[in-house]
Amino acid sequence: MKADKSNPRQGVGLNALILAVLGRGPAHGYAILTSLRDTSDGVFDLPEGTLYPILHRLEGQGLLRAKWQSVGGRERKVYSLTKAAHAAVEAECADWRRYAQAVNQVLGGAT
Amino acid sequence: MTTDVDVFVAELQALLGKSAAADSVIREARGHLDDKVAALMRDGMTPADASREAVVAFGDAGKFAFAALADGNLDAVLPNFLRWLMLAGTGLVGLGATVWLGALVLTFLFGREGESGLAMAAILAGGAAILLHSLAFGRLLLRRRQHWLLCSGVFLGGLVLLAVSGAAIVGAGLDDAPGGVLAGLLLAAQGGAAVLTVAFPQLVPQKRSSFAHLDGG
Repeated sequence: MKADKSNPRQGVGLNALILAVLGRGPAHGYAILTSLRDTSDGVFDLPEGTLYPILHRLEGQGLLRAKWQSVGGRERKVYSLTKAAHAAVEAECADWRRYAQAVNQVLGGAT
Repeated sequence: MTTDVDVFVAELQALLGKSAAADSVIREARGHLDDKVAALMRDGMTPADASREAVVAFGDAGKFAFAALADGNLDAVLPNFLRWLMLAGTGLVGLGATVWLGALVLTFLFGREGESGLAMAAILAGGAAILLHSLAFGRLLLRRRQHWLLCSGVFLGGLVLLAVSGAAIVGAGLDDAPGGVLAGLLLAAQGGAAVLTVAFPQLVPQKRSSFAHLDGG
């Protein structure tokens, strides 16, 4: 399969993982972290304070919207995807699947 | 009793200062730490140990505060309408410069009365420069990150506009020309706004729309 030269990373970034978690539904920072950690069996166990600058940047870029709301009786800043983010996540996932398929094909041939 | 979380939050407050945006960042960090402490206590930790562990897991307060400031997390210092107000202002200046340039060209072609070609060329260049600055500043306001050359141009152009507008206001005032004073004030506003926007980008909420530039991870 031909490499997508418009995507030099040829991989999936932390932004896309966070957006994918939020694709399952709105969540606050702590819930995003635990979801990332749990669904990856502990592989994505981020230093906790690093998440917020990324969330704020994504919000500034118009990919997330945030509002304060009560979660379990506590006020939490809850993030959700914007329309632009949905499209971005789909594109990123498609790129990643192509890349993963290519890696699998190469590794499959080597074993 | 003061916990490690309380100390951490106080440190953040000292680092980020007092503003609505800083309060929001701190409140969010506090919420996270409270959730973490609650989860650790559910796992059997004492409140003191859980508080200490939550702070360690969160990371260094200085790094967090630096990231908050460096990434423009405090963008909401001024409301979004300011950006639109500046866009409207620069649009107005750009429109005025276009009309002015059109009038100058027509005058040059059909109605020149004694002005030298050099003087006309200088006036035309001035009008074109104002129009160009309006376009560049408008672009800067519409998107967050721009090439350094554009930012530098907008900044230097803003300084020039401030200087020129000062002279224009004084000259128009002496000539008793209220239109000239108004135009000078508009140019001064654009110049000042351009300089401040480039020098303090965190003051103005701005947008960036392309996912291609993302990868903060």
